[in-house]
Amino acid sequence: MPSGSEAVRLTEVSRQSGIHFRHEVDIGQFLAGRDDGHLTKWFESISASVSVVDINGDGWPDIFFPSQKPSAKSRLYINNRDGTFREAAEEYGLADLDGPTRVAFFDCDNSGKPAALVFNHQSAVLYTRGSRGKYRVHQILDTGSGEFTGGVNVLDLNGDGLLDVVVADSGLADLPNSMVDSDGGKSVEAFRGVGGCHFVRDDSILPANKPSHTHAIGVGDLRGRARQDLWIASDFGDDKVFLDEGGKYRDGSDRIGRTLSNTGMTAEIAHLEPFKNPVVFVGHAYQPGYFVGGNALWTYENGRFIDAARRLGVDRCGWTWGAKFADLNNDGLLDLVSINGFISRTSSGAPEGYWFKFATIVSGPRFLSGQSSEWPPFLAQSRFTEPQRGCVFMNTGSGFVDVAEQIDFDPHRHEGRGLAVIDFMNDGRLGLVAANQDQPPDLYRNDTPRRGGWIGFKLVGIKSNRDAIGAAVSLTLDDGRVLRRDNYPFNGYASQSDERIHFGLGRRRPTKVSIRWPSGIQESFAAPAPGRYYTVVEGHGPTKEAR
Amino acid sequence: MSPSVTFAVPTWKDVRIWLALVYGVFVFHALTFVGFGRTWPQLLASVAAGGFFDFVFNKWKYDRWIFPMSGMLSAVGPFLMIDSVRLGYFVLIAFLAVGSKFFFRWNGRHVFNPNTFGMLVAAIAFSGGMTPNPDRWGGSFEWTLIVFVSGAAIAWKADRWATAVSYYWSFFVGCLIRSAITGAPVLVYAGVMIGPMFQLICFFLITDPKTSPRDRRWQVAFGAAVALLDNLFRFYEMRLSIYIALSAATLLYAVVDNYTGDARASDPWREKELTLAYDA
Repeated sequence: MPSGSEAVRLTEVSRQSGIHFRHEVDIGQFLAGRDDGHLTKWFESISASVSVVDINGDGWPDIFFPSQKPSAKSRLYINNRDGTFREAAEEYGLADLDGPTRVAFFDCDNSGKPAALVFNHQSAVLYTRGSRGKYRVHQILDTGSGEFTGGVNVLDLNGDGLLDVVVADSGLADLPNSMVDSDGGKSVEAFRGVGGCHFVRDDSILPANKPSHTHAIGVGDLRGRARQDLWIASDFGDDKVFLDEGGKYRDGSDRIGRTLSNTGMTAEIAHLEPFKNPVVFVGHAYQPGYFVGGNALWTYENGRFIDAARRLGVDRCGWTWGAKFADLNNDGLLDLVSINGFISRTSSGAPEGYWFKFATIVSGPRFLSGQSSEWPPFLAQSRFTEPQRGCVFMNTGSGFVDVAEQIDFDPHRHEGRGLAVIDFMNDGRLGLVAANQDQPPDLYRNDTPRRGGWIGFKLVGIKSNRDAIGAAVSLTLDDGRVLRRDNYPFNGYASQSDERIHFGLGRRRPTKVSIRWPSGIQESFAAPAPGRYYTVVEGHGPTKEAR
Repeated sequence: MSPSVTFAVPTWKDVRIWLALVYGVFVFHALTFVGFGRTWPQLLASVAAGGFFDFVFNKWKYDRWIFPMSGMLSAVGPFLMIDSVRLGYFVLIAFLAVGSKFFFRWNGRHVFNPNTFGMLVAAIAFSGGMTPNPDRWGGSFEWTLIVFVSGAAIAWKADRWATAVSYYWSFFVGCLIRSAITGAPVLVYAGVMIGPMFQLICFFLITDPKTSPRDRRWQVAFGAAVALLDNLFRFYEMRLSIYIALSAATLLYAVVDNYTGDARASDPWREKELTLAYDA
């Protein structure tokens, strides 16, 4: 079975692909004179995100990068179908979005045209396509005060065929006053789609929940009950899990086991063999001498969420932000990629020492650690450590092996944040795109030699939401194995991934495809020939090849 | 010659009984407060290992059977103070802590505070797998008070309150000096004094009667010396400052004691029933 560095090759090609974007930051207007050096460093360390969307419907995924600096341009890169991109943000009216931090593209009215839900640090604005093809303001969502964008996900919460939105700001308007039990943050909120691309806040869907500094919201069938449970990854406080009880949610956080990493930055979810239920990968900092817990990999067993990260070898990888599962070498096993980055925002020439000073500060009482005015002034000019390399955990079938160094992944040691999966060559070899804080992005082309087969599906809902978000696809192989992928492109951290369902096959052939649509409709059909993407319309099987 | 058999069951007069009750409260918090990140297996591994090594070393070195309460209690300290997801580190620290009592001895007593020694050696050798972490108490002022009050009572009972007071004031003076040098607000440095971990260190490590002075004047000097070294190491951002400072101070005191005979004045180290001292 192919695995390890010899089996995967990721080449960073952003510039040669025509991507010349650089993420920029300016939050002076939000701080209103409160900036004492620490606030900027902390608050504005989380805005680099990336969205992969087929915005023109040509079957080739495009890329959108928001830039948080209000005067800077966000960039939309249209796929030229030859490995290069052309910039078209102005053409689509997406260049000037007033300090965007996260952008979720989805079909809110099942029209076939994705709307853009744009978050900045203070509000959420829904843009829809006008008659001339440009995006224009459609609705401003009532997200309350809005305090620094955190987790966002899109799904059909109530099964009515319209997509809904769950959002939880990181609530960093004031500094967290405890490393493990901060009083600050914001509660998770639900916005229900009511048709015509309008959303209303609905506090009856989610349970009342304590505010938290949320970074990511993951969706998955965590208990194997054909439900859409929510994992809330929060920093400075415990993660939460909301269990879907048929459109209504209850707090199931007491089922989360105990580890040193009950907090985190990422909520990436996937079906991983041999686990019966999907696993939740929650990224966390790992720094010898200070934070030794590292990442968590939660799996639901016997009514409890158990951390299996250490057992599988994915617990240690610096300060993990964006992370995605993807079968990079098409061997039928999901691999895991994470990108790292500190929150230094300081040149590498600055002295180290942030860890020690920071640890000293948070050793005190919360009324002191929550006041940055009591922090040493020179701390803001310190950096945590040298830039870190991300991790490429290759799945060996019995665990994971990090091959990042062998394959020279993350050659620029950028401060990674959002990470998305994208097959921009449409060749079945999954690439990656990383949004980096205050830095240019990275685009990884997958140049892995063809070792295994693959097959992919673009799902189109009819009774379900058109994006088929929430669909579960099972692929039976000729050896009896059943692979499973769920369509939640907003999982992970600060990213939207290629919405197409992708299966690596190894040397096996697929025999049967089964789809459980969000509407509840189940359909099965004989697997078509591998090596292509197929469009599957709800209730009609694979109607045509996507390319 | 038949081996001596000493099997002392602790009584209510034993300081360790009260220490165990206090620890019980802390352990309950650590196991029920999610942010603390502690588990029952960690507690059991710590206590079992501490007791086991204490029992075995006593039998091996002194050919006596004991109820290993000191070893078990010793192990609770690292359980509360150490972050690790690997049970083996808790066992290792228990081995180092208890072992140090038997292998690093001078003038009939052990030199280092066992837990300080165990945590320091393990934290240096395995910084990627375990580390002392003061954040787990969540910056709780309530727990600061609880640890302070209970710790002060224990220190009073053990007649080491002068050491604690000296360390407190000397540390604060050190913070003032650091503040004057760097220009940072004094609370940047002194804030840790209002954290639960500081109280744990002050009342449950530094005031260990077996490795700290008996005489009041020496207690004051000892507390000041620890604070001086601690501040110095913190100034240079040494990660394990208090553990290094305390280990250095106990070693220094052993040298002083060699000439003054302070610790041996009441011969507390040679009490056969081992009921007075605690090692947390």
